[in-house]
Order: sequence, then C-alpha cells, then structure tokens
Amino acid sequence: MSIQPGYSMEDWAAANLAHLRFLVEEEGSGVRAALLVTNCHGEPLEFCYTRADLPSGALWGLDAAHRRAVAVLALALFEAVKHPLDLALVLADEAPPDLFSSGPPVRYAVGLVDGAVDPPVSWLGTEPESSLAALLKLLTSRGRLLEPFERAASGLEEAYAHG
Amino acid sequence: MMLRAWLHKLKVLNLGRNWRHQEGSRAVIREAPAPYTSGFPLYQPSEIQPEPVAWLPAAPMTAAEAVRTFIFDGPAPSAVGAATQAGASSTTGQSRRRSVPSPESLIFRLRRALKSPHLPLLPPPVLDSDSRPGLMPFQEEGVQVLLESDRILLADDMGLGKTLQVIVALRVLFLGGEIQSALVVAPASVLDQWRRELLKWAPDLTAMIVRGSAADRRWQWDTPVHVTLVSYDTLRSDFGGSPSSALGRKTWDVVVSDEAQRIKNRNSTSDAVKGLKRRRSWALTGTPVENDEEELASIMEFVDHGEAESPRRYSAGPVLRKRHRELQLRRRKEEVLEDLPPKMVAKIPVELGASQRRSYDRAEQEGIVHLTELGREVRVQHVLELITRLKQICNAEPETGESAKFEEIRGRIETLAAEGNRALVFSQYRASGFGVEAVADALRDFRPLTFTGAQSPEERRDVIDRFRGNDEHKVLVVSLRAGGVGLNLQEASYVFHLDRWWNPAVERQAEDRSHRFGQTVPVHVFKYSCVNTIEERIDRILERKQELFDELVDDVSIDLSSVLTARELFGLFGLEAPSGAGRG
Repeated sequence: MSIQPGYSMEDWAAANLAHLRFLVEEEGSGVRAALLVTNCHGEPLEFCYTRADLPSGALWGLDAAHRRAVAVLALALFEAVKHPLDLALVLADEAPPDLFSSGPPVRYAVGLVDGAVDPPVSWLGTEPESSLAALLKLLTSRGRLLEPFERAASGLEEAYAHG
Repeated sequence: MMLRAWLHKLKVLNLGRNWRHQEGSRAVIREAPAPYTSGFPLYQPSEIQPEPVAWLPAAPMTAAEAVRTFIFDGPAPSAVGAATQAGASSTTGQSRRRSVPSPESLIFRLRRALKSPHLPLLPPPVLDSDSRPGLMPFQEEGVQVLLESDRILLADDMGLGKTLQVIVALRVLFLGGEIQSALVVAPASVLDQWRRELLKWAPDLTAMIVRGSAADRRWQWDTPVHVTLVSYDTLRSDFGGSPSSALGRKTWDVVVSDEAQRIKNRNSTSDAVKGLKRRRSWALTGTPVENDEEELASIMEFVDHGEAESPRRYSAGPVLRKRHRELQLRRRKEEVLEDLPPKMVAKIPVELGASQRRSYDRAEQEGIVHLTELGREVRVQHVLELITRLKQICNAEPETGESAKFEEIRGRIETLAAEGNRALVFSQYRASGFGVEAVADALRDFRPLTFTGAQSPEERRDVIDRFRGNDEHKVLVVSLRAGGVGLNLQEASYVFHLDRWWNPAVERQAEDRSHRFGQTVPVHVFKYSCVNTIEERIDRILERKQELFDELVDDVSIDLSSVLTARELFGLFGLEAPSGAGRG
C-alpha cells in the first residue's frame, strides 16, 4: 500500500511549498501579506510577511488599489523568500482576477486554490511536475491542502497583534 | 528574467511614486529615487534596481513595510531583518509608525501560530544507527488512519510495527495539542518494550509504567505523564470496572489495547478495559479474530465505544461483521513488506536415544493403561495430560536428562554461532528438566540468557538489554508464553521451536520476534518433533487438516482440544472416545 501510486514520502522530502495569504486589514486601510513555506509534512520552514497601506481618497479605486497591492506584495514575498520553492499556492478568493495575468513572475508553478471545486487547484501558466501534483493530491485527500493557509493567517495576526 | 519583465510591467503601469526597496530579504530600506517622490511619473526601465530586489509601494499605497522573514531551522525560528523593521516604518514621512513586538515574543508567538497542527507524516525524531530512517509508506498510512480515527482495530500482521505507528500517532496528537492523556494497556511482558519504544520514537513524551505495590500504583496513576502504561492484570486489579473509582472517573483521550486478543473473552479483564472512559479506542492485534465472532464481538465492544457509560454490546451476526469491516485496518506482510527477507521453515524429525526411548515408551504404555482403567470416567482432559507428559519426555528424559533435541540444537548452534549468528529457542515449558532451564543448561557454552514469565519485569528487561547489547550471548531461550508476543528481537535470525504448540498462530508470533520489520537477513525456523512419538502423530493429523487449520484457527490461545476432536485425540492412542468424554 503506497501513499500515492508510484510515490513515497522520500520523493517529496525536498519539496518546498509556498502558501500565500493577502488579508485586508479590518479598517480597510491596508493589505497584509504572508508567505508560509512548508515541507511535504506541513512543517513550517519559513514565514515571510509584509503589508502595504491602501490609499485613501478617490484617486484610486479601492479595487484597483487592492489588486495592485496584492500583486506587488506577492512579488515582494517571492523575492524575499530564502528557501527555493517548488510551487506556490494562492487562495483563489484572495487573488485578484488579473493577478499574474501575464504569467507568474517565477519559474515554479503557481496555483490558485479553491476548496469548493474539483480539482481544487488551477494552475497559472506552467503546471507542476507529476510528483508534486501527486503530493497535492495526497494533501487534498487528507484534508491538508488548505490548512497551511490558516496558519499563515494566524502568523499574520500574531505579527501585527501589536500594530 | 520573467520576474524582471513582470516588475517592469507593474512600473510602467504607474503603480506609485514613492518606492522603497529591499535587497534580498535583509530588509535594507532605501528611499526611492527622487524623481518619483511626487506626482505620477512613469518608471523607466533604466531605473529598475539590479536583482535581487523587491519593490514595495509606498504611495499611492501610502506606506509599506519591508518583508520580514523567519527561518524555521531548529527549535525556534530565526528572524532575518527584524532589526530593520522599525527603521522601515520610519523612513518615510508618510509612514505610520508601528509598534513592533519584541523579536523574542514575536518569534515565540509565530512559532506557536505556525507549527503544524498535525505533523501528519512527521518522521520520528531520533534515529539510531540501527534504525530505518523514518516510516515505511504503509506505516505512514497507518499513522494517518490512527490520527483520523477515534476507534480503530489495527490488525496488521505481526512484525509490521503497530507499536511504532501508535507511538508516532500519539506524538503527533500530543504535539498538536489534540490530546493530553493516553493509556496503553498491554501484557506485562511488553510494558518495558513500550517504554523503550516511546523513548526512542517520541522522546518528547513522558511515560510511566503503573506497577509495583498498591501504594506505588496510587501515586503512579496520579502522576501527570503523557503516556501511562499498565498491564491487563494491574488494570483489572486497580480499576475493576468500578465507575466510581478515581480511575473510573478519569476520561482518557486515548486508550490503546495492545495484544487485544487479551480482551476477546467477556470477563473481568475485558470489562475493566471496556469500562475506561475514553475519547479514542485503538485496539492492536496481530492475530485476526474474525473466525470466532463471539471473541471478535468482545474486542469490538472496546473499539466501538459509545458516549454512554455502559459499553456497546455486540453479538455474532451481520451487524458485527459490517462494523468490523468498517473499523479494522489490516495489512499483511506479503502485501507491504516486499523487502522483508524470507523466512525458511524446516521441520526436524529427531530419533530418541535409547534411554529416552525407553522412558517414553514406558510412559505411553502406562498412560494408555491408565486411560483404559478410567473407563466411563475418562475425559479429553486425561488425554491432554498424557500428551503433555509425553511431550516433556520428548524434550528430555526425566532421570538422566538425555535429550536428542538438545543435542541436535546444540550441533546447529555451534555452526551458526561460529558464523556470527544468534538464535532464539522457544519452549512452552519452563520447568527444569525439560523446558527453558534445561535447554539453556544444555547450551551453556553459548552463554545463553533465559526469558520467562517467572522473572520480574525488571529482570526480563535486563535480559533483553543484555542480549541486544552483547553478542557474546549467542542464544536467548524464551518461554513461549512470556516471549511470544511484543518483543523485537531482530538480532537473532535463527529460531528453534524445541516443542510444538500445535497452533501455527502461536508459533508464528514467536517466529515474528525475529522475522519482522527491521530484519535484514533471512530467518531460519526449525521445528522439532520426535520420530515415532505422540509429537509425530499429532503433526501428521494437523498436516492433513492444515488447510482447514489455517482457515479456521488463527488464534493464539486455543489448545489442542479445540483443534482435534475427542475422537481424534483418543485415536492418537488407539482408543475409542467414550460417549460423553467431551472436553472437560
């Protein structure tokens, strides 16, 4: 009995997965962003976070400002992360429609995650190699696909708890 | 380059005027070039900073912070760039000053917030040189099933690491904060092994064995540890199924019944186990019990616990079978251990020596005469007593100690020991003259150790440690009852059955002390029986019934009278079974 046909945990020992969150602050004055890197076991390897203020006033529509903020924050996080990544996942609800519209700014696969659809991950540009796809399938079957996003949100909350 | 192009596109779209950037993730904050500090000029490609660079908009997003990075490379994450964060927030006049928590407290809180709640596939943290690195896939699957099950009958074949799977699952649950207490109920002979395995695979958990005097046991029960270990007998004695006792009032997050065949009968022992309040019930057995539904029903009553005070009752039938299918996880060795070295079994017929033959023949003749004289009073029990006596003589002649089996075993061990191998010798008898002590004495040149139920748990633990730690001890002589279950003795690759138990499951359990997960060389098993004796006759009958035997008899505790009919038993001595001989 194998975990996924043709694969074992050893195949994924070095796989690093990034989970991105973009959360609008309560008062709507800014966007917080986090990138949580985990290994195939879900253990945290790295956590990056930052934020940007959203503009006030009518010059920028909030939607547009939010979209731009998310795009730039994503880029900043991708740049800042130390661990080499194998794929990155973004919650579809938090990704503006035109995020990465010209393709993700990184070489590894970037997927939008929507737990309400099957399959839950749609890929922006390049799809991951088969072993990573199998790992995602395993995580999905075990209800672990979305869980790291919750931790990333918790991390953001802690990071700005005194803000 | 893709990043650069994307970045360029963002800038051309005029994201803002007042940018700060950081180099790498070290959060070196600089003001953006002056031309872009006001208005909405377009960025020019020539202004793009050399990589690595991350751009953060300050306006129209009026302030942005540099990225902070925490690397989880050990017990605590290290913060990269943390010292610059305050500076980052103050480098522009438009920035709102933020209160940054102290790095120590933030690191602590982030570590807590970000730790994996399940660590579902976490390999054991401590591996010694003899251990295989991590879990095998089927074990990972087993751990996952345990994590997700508040009731499970884990019935993997013996030697597949049920204990390991449970320990890893417990560790995951404890570290994830999902449980605060666990009770493992196991045969007394394996409690120390449980503790050793816990120390090895879950060193961050505390464990205590409840045993000793009543006073000792009282404080042991009250001691707050992660995993409490107790024998079935001690639990029955201390709990007795009384819901009003302190033990009866306690609710365990997990109760593990190891060697769950110990609770297959509805008696005070199984009542005590089933009476424990618990949130999860995990039963472990390497012995399939589906062939006797009444026994299965008793075990399932433990596994399929309800919220009610009184245990759920099962009886034989389709409801039980359906629930059993739902709650059992069973993997066979041949399915999951493709790399397990083979086990080669050889039956060794032994000719009795002259003295032993005379003694045997005399005992058999006298026994038959005795059975005949009993007339209508004779029972199957009388036949079984005679068989036992004759089997003992087959092991060794009572007066002189002569033993053809001992000689044969000694010869083989001489060879295998010279080749650097070690052996386990099993006997169902403990008494001097024909059992464990006798064969140990016969093999004294090989510095044998003995492991029996007469020894205290500490003594047995010491024996196992000495055998594992000193390969000058070439032989471990084990009482089948004391050492047939739970022990891991991969150090030995030769197994001798001095006498036969007549039950494949019992013998397999013993053999699997050696032929199990972690064994790296083929295991050789030798089963002895004496020519022209009761041993040979019984063996022949069982061979004829082998298929039926394998199918129906896969239980460790049945005796010969459960396997052979009264007619067959009396027939061993050329006698007719009288009507009403029964089994009593």
